[in-house]
Amino acid sequence: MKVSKFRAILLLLFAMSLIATACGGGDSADDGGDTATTAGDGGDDGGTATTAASSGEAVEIRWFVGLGAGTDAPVIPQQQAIVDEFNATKPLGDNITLKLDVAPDADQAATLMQTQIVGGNAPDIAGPVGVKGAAQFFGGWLDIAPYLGDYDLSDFDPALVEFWNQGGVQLGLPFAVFPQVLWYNQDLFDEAGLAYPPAEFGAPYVDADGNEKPWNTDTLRELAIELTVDSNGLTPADDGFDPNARVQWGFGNMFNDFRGNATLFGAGNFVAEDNETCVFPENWKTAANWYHDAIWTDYFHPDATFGDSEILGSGNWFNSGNIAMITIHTWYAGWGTADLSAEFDVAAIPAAPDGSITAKLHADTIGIPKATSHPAEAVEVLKWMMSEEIAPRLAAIYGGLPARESAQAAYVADPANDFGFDWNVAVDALSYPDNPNHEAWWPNYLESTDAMNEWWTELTNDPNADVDAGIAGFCDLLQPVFDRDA
Amino acid sequence: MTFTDAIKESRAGPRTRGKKMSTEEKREARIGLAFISPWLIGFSIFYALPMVASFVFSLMEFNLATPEDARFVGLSNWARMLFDDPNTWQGLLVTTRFALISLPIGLIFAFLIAVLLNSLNLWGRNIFRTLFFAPSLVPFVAGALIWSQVLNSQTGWVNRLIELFGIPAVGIDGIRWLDTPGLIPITYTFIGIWGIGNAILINLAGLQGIPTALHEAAQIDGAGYWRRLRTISIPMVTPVIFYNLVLGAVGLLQYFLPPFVLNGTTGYPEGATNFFMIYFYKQAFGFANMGYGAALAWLLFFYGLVVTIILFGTQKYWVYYAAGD
Repeated sequence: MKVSKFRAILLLLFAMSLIATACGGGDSADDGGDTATTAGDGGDDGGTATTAASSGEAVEIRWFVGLGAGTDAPVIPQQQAIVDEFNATKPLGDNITLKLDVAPDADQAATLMQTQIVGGNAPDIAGPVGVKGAAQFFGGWLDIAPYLGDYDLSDFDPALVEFWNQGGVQLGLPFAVFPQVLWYNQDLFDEAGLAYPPAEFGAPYVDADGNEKPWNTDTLRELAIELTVDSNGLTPADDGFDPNARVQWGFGNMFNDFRGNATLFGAGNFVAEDNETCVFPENWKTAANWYHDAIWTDYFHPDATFGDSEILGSGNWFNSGNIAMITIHTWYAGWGTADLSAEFDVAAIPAAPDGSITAKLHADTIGIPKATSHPAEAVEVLKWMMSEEIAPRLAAIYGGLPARESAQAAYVADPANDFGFDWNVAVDALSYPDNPNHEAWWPNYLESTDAMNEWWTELTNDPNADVDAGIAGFCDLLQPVFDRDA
Repeated sequence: MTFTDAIKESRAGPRTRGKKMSTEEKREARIGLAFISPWLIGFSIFYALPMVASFVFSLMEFNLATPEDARFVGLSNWARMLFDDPNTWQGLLVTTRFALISLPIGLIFAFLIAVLLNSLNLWGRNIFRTLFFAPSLVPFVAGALIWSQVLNSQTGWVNRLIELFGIPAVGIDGIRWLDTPGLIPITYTFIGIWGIGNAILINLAGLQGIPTALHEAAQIDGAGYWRRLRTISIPMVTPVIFYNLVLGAVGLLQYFLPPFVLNGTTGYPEGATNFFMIYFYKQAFGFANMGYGAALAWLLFFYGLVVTIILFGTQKYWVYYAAGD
């Protein structure tokens, strides 16, 4: 090699190193941290999957947790106990073992699992996972229908089984259901001298004087205004009320996007039946205006600024004790009210203006990534997890009602599942699910959800926003996103 | 003959094409390569190869969830990014505008604080140096979360402090640091200044590296403090300022953590936090469009390369190297 060429190569490498270093972004903090799993290696033996078990070859099924619930510290040992029971009792034979793999950070779980899939180290089972979590892997789930055989599905609501059939792929079986109910702070109601909301769906609200009125969004609004107080003890209905000095709020819809919020006014979706055209349901137009007024006119719903502040628990409003009512799913049970010293209970969801009642539903499943090396064994383990004996115990870990209908009564009656509220209200709520579900598939799911969130964030953070104009422009925003999915 | 001698000899005389390396020169070259090989190998594996891979991904429709469905799509990701995606240009605009505001403020502030810390008249210099450096040790995510409470327009103490001076700051009609598009660059710059301890230290080291003889000679000639600062200190630390400028510019082009922690990927308010890296993260990891994300990453690379080349091109006009170029 000539000296000049040798130097040229060295200089080129040096220049590339300068450029790469300059654009490299530094340390691991910028790279978002490591992606290592917490439970050691992946255990992928890379064998011929469908015949491994039958040949007696040892198969380790790795159960990945993090796409939904399951990463909280108190829950991990409970999940491990289920895994240990499987390995001790060997219900599927000596050669199949189960291993728990909990993502170190729930926010990064999807990225972690994506990395594992791309790296050829896909987990064999993943869950619990809801619709949103599953959407991040759309097209990447195993269709378990061919593997179910004569598995008895009669104990599951057919609608829920169908719910987890997405695009012709039976992604999983219903595992746990988390209906939405109204949570209310009894101490704040007592302080205001107000009667509690009704526990029975469809029942009227009976005030402290015994007068009945429909339990609907109008009554909810009236109560919420009375329960919103500033530092001088004034409500929004009083002269001199200072919204900047609020110390207590009447109502909030927690941890929801717009579709979740709007379902209080009835189910709907932003896509027409052709699954291509953007539409804005009329009842959701009412919802958008109602919520904007609730935040900026009636002042009983927290805005983002107060909502993120310490006075409202930095986002966990009900736990702060400074909000009288919220609507949220039963997965909030336990951890959600861990610091709440007040007495609380749950009540029925109020009816929409048209009289319909909708208690939106979260239904989790446990799925199998298509990239698993052991699909047959993974399905068998999944069936064990969905069994009459195991599924209720697993559901209880995450604060969910078992999807198995035969197990729900016993679950509710079990003192171990007492989170301080009446579970029967939640069971009743199952009769009023949102259909279509508020997390139902829509074109270009992730991008559409992101666009919707941006739109709603702008509207709810602007006290002077023209909501109707925002509604009118919504489909101009979403249709191109839908079209990209075509 | 040492490696250094070999370089000097090769520079001393005219270069002759076709001159072969002597055995000694080859041996020296091999030794040199052996010493830098660990870095070369690491660079190749962790930088060069991934860069090549990401460029290939940019030519593909590649979703992390379904890697088996990856397919070659040519330049369609690039075409969409450059001609059919307003978010690309908005991201670059937001990022560049923020860099143009934040970088000068950060550089000037770091330099001025370093000048103060270098003063012989400052009592408790070591204490102040520690205090100014300490915030840069706080994990940035934790710091950003703290700042979100401090700057809360309803309950944050910054607004409550401003109210003490009679300026209406608290509340819906007050100063909404994180909700007003025009205030976002100022707010984020303010947050960023909290963590410029590193830049202060580097500037301080540069100031302390100035030969005292220069200042003494200037003092003898009657130059005052400001004259000496302007004509001696600043020119002598221009290499340090240039270093901070380049690193700062490249770092700001990759600005991600504060907007991500404070506003997620919503871009709120009105797109003011739609930094380019936020959009890249959204595409690559939020939507799992790794192919399109790779194209965005390469666009940022070229943009950063152009900025860096321009900056390097300006240095001959204002950076003074005492040892020569």
